[in-house]
Amino acid sequence: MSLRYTSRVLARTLLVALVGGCTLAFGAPPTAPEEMRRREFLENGAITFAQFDPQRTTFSVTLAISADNVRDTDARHGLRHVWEHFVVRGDGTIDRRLERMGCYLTAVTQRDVTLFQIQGPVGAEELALDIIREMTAPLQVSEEALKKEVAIMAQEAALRTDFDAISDAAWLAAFGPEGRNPFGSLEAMAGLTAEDLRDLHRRQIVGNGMALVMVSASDPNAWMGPMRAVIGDLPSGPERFPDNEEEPISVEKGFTPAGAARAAVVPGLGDPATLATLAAALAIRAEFPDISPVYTPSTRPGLITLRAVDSATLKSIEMVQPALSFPVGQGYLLGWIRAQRSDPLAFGAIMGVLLLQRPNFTLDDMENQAATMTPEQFAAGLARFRADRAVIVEVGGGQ
Amino acid sequence: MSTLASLVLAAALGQTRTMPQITEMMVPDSGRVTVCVAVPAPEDMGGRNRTAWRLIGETLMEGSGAYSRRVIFAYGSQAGVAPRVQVFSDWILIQVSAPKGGTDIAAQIAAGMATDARLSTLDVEKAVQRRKTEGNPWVLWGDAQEPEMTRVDNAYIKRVYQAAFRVERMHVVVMGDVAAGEGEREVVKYFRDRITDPPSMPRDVNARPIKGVPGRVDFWEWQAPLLKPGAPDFAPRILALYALGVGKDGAMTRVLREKLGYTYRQQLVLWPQRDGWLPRFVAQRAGSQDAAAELNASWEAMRADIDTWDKVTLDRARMLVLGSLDTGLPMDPFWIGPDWRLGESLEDRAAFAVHGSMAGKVIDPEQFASDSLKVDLEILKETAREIIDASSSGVYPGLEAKR
Repeated sequence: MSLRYTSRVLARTLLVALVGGCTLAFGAPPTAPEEMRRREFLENGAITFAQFDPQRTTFSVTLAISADNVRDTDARHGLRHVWEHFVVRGDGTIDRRLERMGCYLTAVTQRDVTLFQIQGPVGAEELALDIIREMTAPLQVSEEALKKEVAIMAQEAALRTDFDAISDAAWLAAFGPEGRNPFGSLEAMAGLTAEDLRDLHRRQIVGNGMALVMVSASDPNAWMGPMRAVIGDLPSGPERFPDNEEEPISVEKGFTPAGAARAAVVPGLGDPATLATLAAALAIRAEFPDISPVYTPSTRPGLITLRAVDSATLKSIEMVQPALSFPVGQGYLLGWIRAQRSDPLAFGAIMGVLLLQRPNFTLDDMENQAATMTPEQFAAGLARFRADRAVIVEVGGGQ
Repeated sequence: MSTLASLVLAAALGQTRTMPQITEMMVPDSGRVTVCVAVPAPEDMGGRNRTAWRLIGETLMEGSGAYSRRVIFAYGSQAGVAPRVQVFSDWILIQVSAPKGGTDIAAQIAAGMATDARLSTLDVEKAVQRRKTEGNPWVLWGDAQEPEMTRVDNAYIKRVYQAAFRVERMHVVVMGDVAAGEGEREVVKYFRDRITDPPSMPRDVNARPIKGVPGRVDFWEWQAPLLKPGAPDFAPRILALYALGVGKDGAMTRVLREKLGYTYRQQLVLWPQRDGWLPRFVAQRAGSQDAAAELNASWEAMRADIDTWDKVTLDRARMLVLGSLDTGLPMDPFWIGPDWRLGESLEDRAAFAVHGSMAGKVIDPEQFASDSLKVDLEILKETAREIIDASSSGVYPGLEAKR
C-alpha cells in the first residue's frame, strides 16, 4: 500500500510517524498541532483523515461519498437520496446497536456528496467503524421494501417548504439541470427498482470519491489502521471527475414560487470570493432579521441564498454599507468557522467534503482566508447580492 | 455535563430583593463569555398579554436605550456569535456573547434588553407583520396561541414590559472565560430596574389556540405531564420518555414510521417551560384521511409496543440519557427554541443552566446515573404505560393542505 502525502504539515506528520510511530501510537498522546491530525491517501483512491482533540468527550465518524459521475438524471431524480435511506437501514439492526452504546447515526444527501455520520461517546469508535464497514457491504433491498420507503419519502417531501422551492428555483436558474435538488422527484422515485439501487451502490462504494473522517479524543495514529481496514480494500472504481466545476456563464431571472430570494453565484470554498460573499450574507442577516442566508459548504460552484417572505424585504440589501458591515460579517464568518471546528459532526462533514473535492484546502486555510479578508473583497462579495448580479426569485404569477 | 462540572466553579451568588439570581460558571480557555438571562412570565397570562409577551420578545434585539440593533450585532460579531432571544409562552431567554474580557459589555447589552428595551412603534409593527407572515410551522407549534391584537398597541406592550421585566424575577448565568466574581460584579452593575413603581399587568382575555400551522403537513402531538428535575420519579420518567420517543430505535419511530408507515419525522421534544421540561411527542403527517383514527391507532400501537421491550431497551435509554446529560452529545430531545435542540456550545450550555436556575433545579447527571441503576425493566415499562395513559393528544392541521 503506497501512501501519498501532499501538504507540508502532513509530510512532517509522516516523518514523525516513521521515526517514532510506536511512541505516537502507544505512548504519550501527541500535543503539537501537526501531530494531532493524520491523513492517508489509500491505494484504491480513498482518503482517510483522523483528528485528535483531547478535550472531546464525543467522537464522530464521517463517511463522505462523492456524487461525481453518479448524479441523478431527470428520469432517476432521487435515486441517490433513496439509496442513502437504504444504506443507513442496513440489516435493520444498525440503529439499535448504535443507540445502545449512546451513538446516533445521521445521513444527508447533498448535491455534491452524500454524508453518513455517527456520533457517540468516546470509547465507541470501533463500533462506529464496524457499522461503516457494514454499510459498504452489498446493499440489501427488496422491491417491497423500496415501495414502502418511497411512500415514507412522500411524507418527507411534504415537509419541504416554500423556501425549499425558492432555493430549488434559484439553483435551476443558475445551473440548469445540473442544479436539480438533491431531494428528488417522487414520480421518478416511484419508477426505481431494487436493481437501480444495487447498481448505484456498486458505483458509489469504491475508493475513488470516498473519504473517511474520524474526530476523536484518541491518538490519530491509533485509528489510521482500523480506518484503512474499513475502506482500503474496496475496489478503486473508475476515476471520478467533477461535472460541475465551471461557474455558470449566464443567469436567468424571474422564477416565481411563493416567497423571494436573491442568490449569489459563488465559485466554491477555496476561492476567497466565496468566503467574502458568505461574510456579506452574515452581515446582512445581522442587520435585517427578516432575511435568512442558506449555504451548503462545497468547493464547487454554488449559491449563497438570501431568503425572505417578499422581494421588498430583500431590497434592504441595497442599503448595506460595506465599510460598516465588513467587520461584522468577518466576525460572524470567523465564528462560523470556529463553530465548524468545535462541533465534531460539523467538522467531520466539512472535512469530508474538502477531502473529496480539494484535499489541500483545509479549515486552517479557510480561517486564514477569513482573517485576511480585505474590505474590497467583502464589498465585491456584497455586490454579488445586488439586483443586477444575483439570481432573483420573486413572489408573483406562479401562485 | 460532568466534564463541564469539572471545569467550572459554579456558585449561586447573591439573592437580594432587587437583584436577579446570579450564577457564575467558569470555563477556562473557552475564549469568550456569554451572559444568559431567563425572564419568567407572570402567572396566568391570557390571550392579549401572551401576544404582548411574544411581541416584546421579538423586538428586544432591535435595541435598547443605549444600543441600537446595529451596535448589538457589531459587538456580537467580535465573539463570532450572534446575540439571541428566544420567546416561550411563559419565559424569555436573552443571550449575549463577547470575547474573553468582554463580560462588561455583554452584561451591559443583556441588561439593556432586559430592563431598558427600546420597543419602538415601528419595531413592534414589524414584529406583528412577522408574526402574520410566519411560515415556519415549528414557531407556531411552539407557542400554539392565536394572536390577540385588539387593544395591544405600543403603550400596552410597554406596560406589560414594565410590569413583567423586573430584575428580581430574572435569572442570570455568566459562563465562560471569566475570573471569579467578575460575572457577578458586572451583572450587579448593570441590572437595575428603570422604574421603581411598576404598573400592574393589564386586564386580559382568554387565550385561543391556533387553528393550524403553515404548510401541507399536520402536526400530531401527545403532551405528557411536566418533567421536573429533582423530582423523585425523574430517573424512571426520563428513561421511559427516551425509550418511547428518542432515536430511530425508539418506540415512536419504530411504530409510526416503520410499522404504520404514517410519518417520516416523529420525535419526543422536551420543551423548556418555566418550571421544568414539557414532554411533547410530535409527529408530522401529510395526507391523512382520518387524523383522529390514525392518532388513536398510533397511541394504541405505542402502548402495545411497550410489551415487547427488553433489557436492550433499558440499556439503550440509559446510554442515550447519559449521552445527552453527561458526555456532551447533541441534547436531543432537549430543545431551546422552535426546531432547535441544545448542543455542546458554550451558549447552549449556558441556556441549559439558566433554565435550570429558573426551574429551581439543574439536572444532575451524576444523580441520574446513580438513580437510573435502580430502574429495572418492569419499572421502565410501567412508567412508560403511565406516560402513555396520562398524555393528552391534539392535531394542528397543516393550513395549506386544507385550502
